[in-house]
Amino acid sequence: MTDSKEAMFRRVERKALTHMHHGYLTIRNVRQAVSRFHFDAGYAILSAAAVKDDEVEQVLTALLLLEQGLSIHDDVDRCQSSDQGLIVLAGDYDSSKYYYILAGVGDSALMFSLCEAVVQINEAKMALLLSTAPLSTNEYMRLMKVVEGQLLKALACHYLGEDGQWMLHIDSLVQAYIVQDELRAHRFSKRLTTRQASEWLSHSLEQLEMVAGGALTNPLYSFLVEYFGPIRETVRDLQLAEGKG
Amino acid sequence: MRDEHVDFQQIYEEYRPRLEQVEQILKERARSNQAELTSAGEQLLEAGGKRIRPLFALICGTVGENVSDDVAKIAAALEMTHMATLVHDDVIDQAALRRGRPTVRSAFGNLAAMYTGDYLFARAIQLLAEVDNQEVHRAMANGIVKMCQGEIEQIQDFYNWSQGFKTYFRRIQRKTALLIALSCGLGALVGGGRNEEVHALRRFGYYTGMAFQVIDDVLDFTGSAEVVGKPVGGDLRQGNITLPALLALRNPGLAKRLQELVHPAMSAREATEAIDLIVGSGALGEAKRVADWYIAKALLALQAVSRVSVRQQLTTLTLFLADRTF
Repeated sequence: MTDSKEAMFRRVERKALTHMHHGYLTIRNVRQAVSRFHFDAGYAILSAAAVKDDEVEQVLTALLLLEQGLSIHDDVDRCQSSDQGLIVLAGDYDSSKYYYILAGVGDSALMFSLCEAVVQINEAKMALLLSTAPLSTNEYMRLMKVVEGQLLKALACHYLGEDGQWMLHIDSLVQAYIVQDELRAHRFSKRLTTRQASEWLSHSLEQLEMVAGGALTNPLYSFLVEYFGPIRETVRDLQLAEGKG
Repeated sequence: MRDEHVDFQQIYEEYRPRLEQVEQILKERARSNQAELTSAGEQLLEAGGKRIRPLFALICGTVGENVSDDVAKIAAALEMTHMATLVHDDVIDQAALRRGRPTVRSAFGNLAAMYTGDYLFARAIQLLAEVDNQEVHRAMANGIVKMCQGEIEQIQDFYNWSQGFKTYFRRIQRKTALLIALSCGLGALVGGGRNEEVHALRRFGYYTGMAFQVIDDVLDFTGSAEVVGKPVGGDLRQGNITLPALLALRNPGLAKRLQELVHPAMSAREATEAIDLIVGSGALGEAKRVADWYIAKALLALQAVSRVSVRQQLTTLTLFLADRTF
């Protein structure tokens, strides 16, 4: 991780939190945050595309506002009914600020692509929410990858083109992020077995290792290598737990 | 009144083909690969409404020489944004019915309503992204940010009797007037109106929107529950202090009692007494006069518009809205 990346994160985080801020939401303790994972992945994509710092700052601020605006709405049934309205409005406010920033950037094609991603994310969330039959783990992972990864794919598609290799690696990255998140939240007993998690993480690692050596100097691949380091340890632990060590 | 009503119907007839074009765009864009999202979108579309915002945009879109399909896209995007806010409002208000039909939240749950609103908002912005005019985005984005601020401020001011008129007017400006001002201003912009006409029509929309909300707040106290689709005094029961209540508060004989009656744990009996006090105070007539003042300002703004048909149609539409009973 470079200093300039950390400096960019601090600037983007500060900017996004300033946009999210509303005095009354603060008084009522509506806590908001930005996703470090989405920043890191977005930063790697924009660095790979050699986007200038000013634009990186604007686009990532908008992306993180959008990501937070959508994800805070998942909490609407987790809070007290007296706070539900504020959760709804906090998310709407974040989304309005994302639109405000992108309107300033003036890139209609990017706006169109991100909106398409939001459409697909909400379709996936509805499918996860209202599925009448229990979802297979593969179907669950497919939908979750849309929820967590579609904004990043839209960004990569816009800046790097629709090259299948980019998409494959972003897909692996997002899959690893979801598995890690599931591990942290201890949701495996409900959704996934440790064996399945281990297999998915191994698969993601195999996909990464297929990358040609020269490509590893690319910012996106470098980030993938950096991100997958700790995951390698997790996979080893899981395999030991499964008696495969 | 009867003649105005006929005129109003004539305007709807004249714009029917273009309104149907807007309706078609709404249907196409609300359709999703996910069955329940499509169903929720259709439910909102079928609940209808007067499609006032699209109609304003379409009329204002005829102000210049441009005949552009972009006006219909903007009209549809504005209505879709409005629909997105309604489906989220129903979660905030915990509403079971809208226009006599089950709300998305009561049919599918709060989370589904959140996803439907986010989906529709994305579709609205996507539609606007197809219009090659950065000024449209800047105006729309600015307006939507303020609308959200207005919604937050509305919750902030629940049960707040110390709010002044300025707070109320700023809130309804953001909550309602801005989207109508955008409908008129953006319609005129894309329709090729001159700069001064675009500004004038935006002002017209703003004043009409202010009047529209004040009238809505009066009807909340007078409209029958069956027609309006929510209980009489619904805003006050929710803690929303609107213009009639603020005007009644100026009567020293009522102020103390009103403040005693309206509080977060108010009973149905207390709410009914407060509503009766406000209705009996003469505040509704005063509020109606405020709405009339806004209407007069709106009509004055129209003088800057050179096309006669636009002035006439907007005048008829505005007077009809001012006289509405639901």
